[in-house]
Amino acid sequence: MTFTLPKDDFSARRGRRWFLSVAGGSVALAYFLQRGIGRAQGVPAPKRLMILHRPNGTIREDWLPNGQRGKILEPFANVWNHTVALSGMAIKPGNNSAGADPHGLGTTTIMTGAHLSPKIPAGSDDGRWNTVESLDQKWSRESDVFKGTPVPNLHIGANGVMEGLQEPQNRTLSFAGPEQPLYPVISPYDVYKHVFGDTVLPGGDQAAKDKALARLRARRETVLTYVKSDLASVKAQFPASFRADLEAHEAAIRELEQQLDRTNMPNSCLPPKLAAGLPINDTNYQKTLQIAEAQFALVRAAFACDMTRMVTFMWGAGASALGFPEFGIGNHHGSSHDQNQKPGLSKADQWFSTHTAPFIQSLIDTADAGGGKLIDNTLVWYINECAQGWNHDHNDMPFLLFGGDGVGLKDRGRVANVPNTTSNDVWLSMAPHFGMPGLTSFETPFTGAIPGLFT
Amino acid sequence: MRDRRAWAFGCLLPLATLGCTGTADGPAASAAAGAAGVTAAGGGTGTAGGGTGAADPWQPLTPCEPALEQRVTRLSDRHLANAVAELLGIPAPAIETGALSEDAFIPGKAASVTGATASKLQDVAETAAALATAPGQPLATCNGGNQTDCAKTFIDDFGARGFRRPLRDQERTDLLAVYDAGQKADGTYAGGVSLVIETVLQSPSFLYMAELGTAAGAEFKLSGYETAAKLGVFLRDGLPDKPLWEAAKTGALDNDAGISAQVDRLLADPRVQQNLSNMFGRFFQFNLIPELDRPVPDWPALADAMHTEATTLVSSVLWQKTGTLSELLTTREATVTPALALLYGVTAPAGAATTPLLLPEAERAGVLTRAGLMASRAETASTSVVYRGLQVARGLLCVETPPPPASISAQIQALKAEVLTERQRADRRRQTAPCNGCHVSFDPFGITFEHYDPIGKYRTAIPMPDGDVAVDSSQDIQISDVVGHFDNAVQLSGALAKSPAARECMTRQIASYAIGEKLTYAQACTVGALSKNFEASGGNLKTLIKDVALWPALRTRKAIAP
Repeated sequence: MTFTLPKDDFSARRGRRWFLSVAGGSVALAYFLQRGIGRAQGVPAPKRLMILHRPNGTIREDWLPNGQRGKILEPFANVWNHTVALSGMAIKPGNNSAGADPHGLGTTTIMTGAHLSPKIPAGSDDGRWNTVESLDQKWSRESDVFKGTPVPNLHIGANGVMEGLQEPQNRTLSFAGPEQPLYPVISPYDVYKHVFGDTVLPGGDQAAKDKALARLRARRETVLTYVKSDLASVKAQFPASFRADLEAHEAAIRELEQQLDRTNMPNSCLPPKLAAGLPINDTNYQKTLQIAEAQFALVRAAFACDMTRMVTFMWGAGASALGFPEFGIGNHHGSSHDQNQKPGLSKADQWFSTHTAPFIQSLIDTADAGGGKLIDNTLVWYINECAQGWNHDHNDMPFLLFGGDGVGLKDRGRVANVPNTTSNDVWLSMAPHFGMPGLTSFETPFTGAIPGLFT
Repeated sequence: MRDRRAWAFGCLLPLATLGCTGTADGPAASAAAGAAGVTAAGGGTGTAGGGTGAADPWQPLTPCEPALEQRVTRLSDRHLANAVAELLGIPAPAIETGALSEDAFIPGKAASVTGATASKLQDVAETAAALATAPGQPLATCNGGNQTDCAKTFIDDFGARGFRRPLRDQERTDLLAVYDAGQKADGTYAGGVSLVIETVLQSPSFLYMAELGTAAGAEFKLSGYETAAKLGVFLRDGLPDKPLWEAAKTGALDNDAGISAQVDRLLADPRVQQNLSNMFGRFFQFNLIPELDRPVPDWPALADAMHTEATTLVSSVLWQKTGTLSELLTTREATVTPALALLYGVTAPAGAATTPLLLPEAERAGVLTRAGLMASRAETASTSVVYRGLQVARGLLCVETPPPPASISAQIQALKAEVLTERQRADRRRQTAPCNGCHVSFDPFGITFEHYDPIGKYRTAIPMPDGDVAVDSSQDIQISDVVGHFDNAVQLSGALAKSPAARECMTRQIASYAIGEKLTYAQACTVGALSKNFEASGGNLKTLIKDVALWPALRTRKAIAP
């Protein structure tokens, strides 16, 4: 049994104590106001990076037939002038990839550029653990480009249902360290709480809201003070092998502490109002779409409000079991192996295009506080863990890059022929634009920054 | 679980070249499998291929090490929700932090707490505290006496049960300070209590379960409180209930007799029985059944009926019938809806939502042959010898197989593209290297299930483009101690019901569930006594569950680096 909160709208679901609707707000050190002032004084707009994954490969002949935009890519026609399609790139895994689950192998290699572990995660029977933290984690930790936001990085998804067991290596793009998956949050309500939960909307009785806000902050400070003390206590008692988990927990508590100072929402930066009763983790593709649209709205707002600059998003887990009955696909992964189902599979990948394109369009349409539009300073890498589902290969990967001048994406609106390159080369090409110029190599195969892809 | 992957239609590398010898890391791995037969994994079953060479199957290895190192685990979302509900007397909150695979039989290590997780836990704690201290709720008021005294009593009870151990003096002092802060801010007792609740529910001492024990020679023995917590998770899927908690407090869990009394009591508890039925549901992956998509009338209602039938079957055998593994594998009793009765070819009275009846003797025997399980081990339009074979080999006989290589995907596709029956495809694998190396250890089982179509309906013919092909489910088998000629899965189920290897494997499966990790070969030796008693009991699963609850390895640890 679960308890349910009122669902007439999301504000009601959050409850009066959490969602305080007053105008302006006068709490000192207000995060948004600080940042707003900073922007007004000419601080450059932040750069943002998003890895946007959809599962189970594409149908090559409908992706880039004869080097041209195929029908799977047609939904991106309106955003094509912010798009570069990559043709000829491969994923080249490293050690311990023989016999490894091709789905987890793909995402883990893209996201780490490192060898796989010989160890098989519990809950899988042919997956391989990662051996290092993922690059989204490393970059958001090391690069000044990503530092200073309340949410260092955000991992979200629209569907987590896999075929068979829910294997760790397929359910995530991000790893805090070796064998430390950071699973995407599927519930938009939870994402909202994480990113915008304590913000104050304009309107209402300010004095009453200031009082309620002060109470909430005081209570949370008391709780977190105890939690930190308890963390220190258990850290001294627990075995060293558990220390990495406790350090991750400490970082999580620091995020909650930062949220205490993040409570006033300027008029220029409003979180989306989420629909009530959104489905959670359902194999029905229409329900998945509802979740994705809410998540995309949250990402757009999080970028606009500079709440985070690093996002990973999964339409579904690798080996996703999402069903597309409209296209005759009962189980996306199961069907993806079957060449006879290519027409339906093509429509399924086109479906992801159709419903990703509006998000890209929203980045094109939304003003960036530092000037221009969000897309100007955002790079979205659209990936898949397999090239084609029917053989689960990793050659000629169906990758796209969306972005603008601020992140240096060059000559947009084209297909970039990049034969003999690997996914690592995308990271190497991006690195100078995202404060990681020292990144020059990987454990797994790479050729280097791709000439002409970025400025 | 890889056995639902479509490439499994293809082939795996040879047992010999990839360690496909019955166990991944144990001495038994050296026993030849292949054409000579396959040896069950680990635990020293010792039942050699072809049914020969059996030594004492429960002879422990020397030396036999304690099963586990000292460790700390994060509570799963399910355990967390149940714990919050029990502590506060409120409905279980919906918690989905992605800690681990909640439906998995052995879920593995939980993910680290992230900012998103901490935010969610904060939300859960605040909501739960608000619900538990709302006006009119028992925790909202101090009935007589000094409010501070009331708060101290509450903290001592709630904090200790939440942390699954007595509070330390400093914790008691600090939590009272938390109460004071909440009480002063709100001016109410409830304001203070609710802040204590929020604090405890977000504390690492609540969220992580320590199994450290105290030194006893070279080993570490879990304390009575740690034992209570372990039994709470294993048997209740949550916290220790009050009698178990009291037993820990009085020291009754420091000896076998005290633990035995508590386990006896718990096994009679309907909640515990339901939880253990759910455990077997996870073992057979009944959760897959409602997720299936099959283009047939009455779907998904029929899938739901299959799921209900499967779960009812397990519950009935465990708690109303003999409770034996053999009955679970052979019973024809079923509780079915009219639509499901039709699928089974039996008649159910009109008007009844569900009816208990007997399934046809020639067609059905036990859980493996039920429609739901068969459908969940099939593709949408075809059966699967591989999925069904692996269910028996891995699940019931603990025959380990190595992961299949990606390098032969083209070979797999070529085989899959051919228009063949599943039996013909299996025959092709048997004749083809490198496929035959591993498939010999599970395909023969899968073939015997060929009478069950993709929705688990009994069939005698398979529709093919060139006309129907008669089902041939007969098979010679020499895998573990299952040896002989089998006409069909009914006969196979009968053999499994008598198989010592199946009983030994079930011992390891339940022991693995109880500790939350798959027993390695080195650890599996510790289940020798359990296996022996399970065998002596005639394969009584309730005996096994109790023995696992009393299993010394469950509460013994070896040291790891501090």
